[in-house]
Amino acid sequence: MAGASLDTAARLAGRTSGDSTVAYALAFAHAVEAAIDVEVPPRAIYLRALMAELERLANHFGDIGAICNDASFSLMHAQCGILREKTLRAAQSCFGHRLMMDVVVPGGVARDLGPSCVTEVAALLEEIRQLFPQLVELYDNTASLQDRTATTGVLRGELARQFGAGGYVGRASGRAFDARKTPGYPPYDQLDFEVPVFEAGDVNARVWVRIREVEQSLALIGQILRGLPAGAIRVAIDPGDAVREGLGMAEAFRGDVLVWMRLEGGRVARCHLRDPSWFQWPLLEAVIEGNIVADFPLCNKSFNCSYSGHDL
Amino acid sequence: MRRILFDSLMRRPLTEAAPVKDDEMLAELGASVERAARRRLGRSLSIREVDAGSCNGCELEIHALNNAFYDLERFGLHFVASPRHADVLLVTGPVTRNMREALERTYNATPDPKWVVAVGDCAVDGGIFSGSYAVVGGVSGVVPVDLHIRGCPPQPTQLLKGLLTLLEPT
Repeated sequence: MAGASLDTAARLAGRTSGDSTVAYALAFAHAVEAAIDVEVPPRAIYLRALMAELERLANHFGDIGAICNDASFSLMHAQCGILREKTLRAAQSCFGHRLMMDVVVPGGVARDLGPSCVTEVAALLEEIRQLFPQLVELYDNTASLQDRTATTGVLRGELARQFGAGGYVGRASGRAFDARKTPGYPPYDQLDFEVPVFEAGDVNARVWVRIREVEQSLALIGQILRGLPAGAIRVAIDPGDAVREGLGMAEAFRGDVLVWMRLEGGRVARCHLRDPSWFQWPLLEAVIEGNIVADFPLCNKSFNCSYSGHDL
Repeated sequence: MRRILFDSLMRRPLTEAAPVKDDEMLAELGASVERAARRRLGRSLSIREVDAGSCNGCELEIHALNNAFYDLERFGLHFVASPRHADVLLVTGPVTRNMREALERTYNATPDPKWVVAVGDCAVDGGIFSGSYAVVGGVSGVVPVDLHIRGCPPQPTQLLKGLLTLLEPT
């Protein structure tokens, strides 16, 4: 990263943890935009949020399915896999890439939404709204599954706060932090959504945070599509020669991503990308204590910490 | 649950037709895979995935091969949990220095005949990470590679094409 041009650095940031590529690119863009003080066009801000919420949906579907799969309940895994794949296909057709890599760039977004895309994403929302509640009901009413997730791998709220754990790990243990609200960034200040918080701190609570966040993301995407402003999608970025520093944050599906960077002579001199997993991995160790070995996969999957984001 | 299962029975399967094989990949493979070895394996391959420092983008798409749309197992391809059980190593990432020895040991633990498939642009030559102090840069610098599947990350259909090429060259 040191010595990289802004373009290369943005691509690298988007490959810190591939599952959160939109969030990383967004946090990096926020840092650059803070460093050189540029205003991003409103349409770009909305498109960024659209991508971020699609990414959150895809990952939460994957996680909910995978957690159930670790309790040998493969039906949920298969059904959630279908929803995930459909979300990725919509991303491919609207943003030209299944994971939406390299679309969020400093100064805006690299690609505008085609005319048919609004209808396509709306159709995806409709499909998810039909199928997802059935899956939630299935999860909630299957005693053998609940037996594995409820009271398993409890994270005490005190520990979550002590480590500053974000994302579903923190929010399932009563820590109501969400970077979209605090410090907050546009367009979320113009959108209506809630941050679901649970207190139980077990695997079940971490599943429920995801379920509720899927519902919130669906509502957010609906609002984004309705309120999508017209206009430019990108402003030119001139890093200049001066030394400048910027700090940026974005809420990934896993928690808050923080980026600090320093520009020197128009290139990135230093940069640090902090993954939410930094504050979650140590807690996993505390969570598995006293649980049976067979429940380790459930605890682990319900945390779903990033390997690449943490251990570069 | 009954309703979901019943719906699945009544609905047409989501699984899509197999993709057409790729000429370029066939050419790369031609020299490295003998017919005899292939006959010995029949139509079934066990795959061990090795993450040699990828960003996990490739893993997400490899994972997608198991979903209802691609259904990898219908081709006799399945993932295994140990290199001792594997015919194919599917390696992703630019090979970080930390993962170099792990990759070598995994390769040595895999019984012959074996093939190595390098997945993603990073696995070809380090991709966007090449030149970094932390990476070796490219899987072929560490273990012999039989097939490259490019992309950042390659889409599941591209992965499927590559793996099918390995299975049935003609």
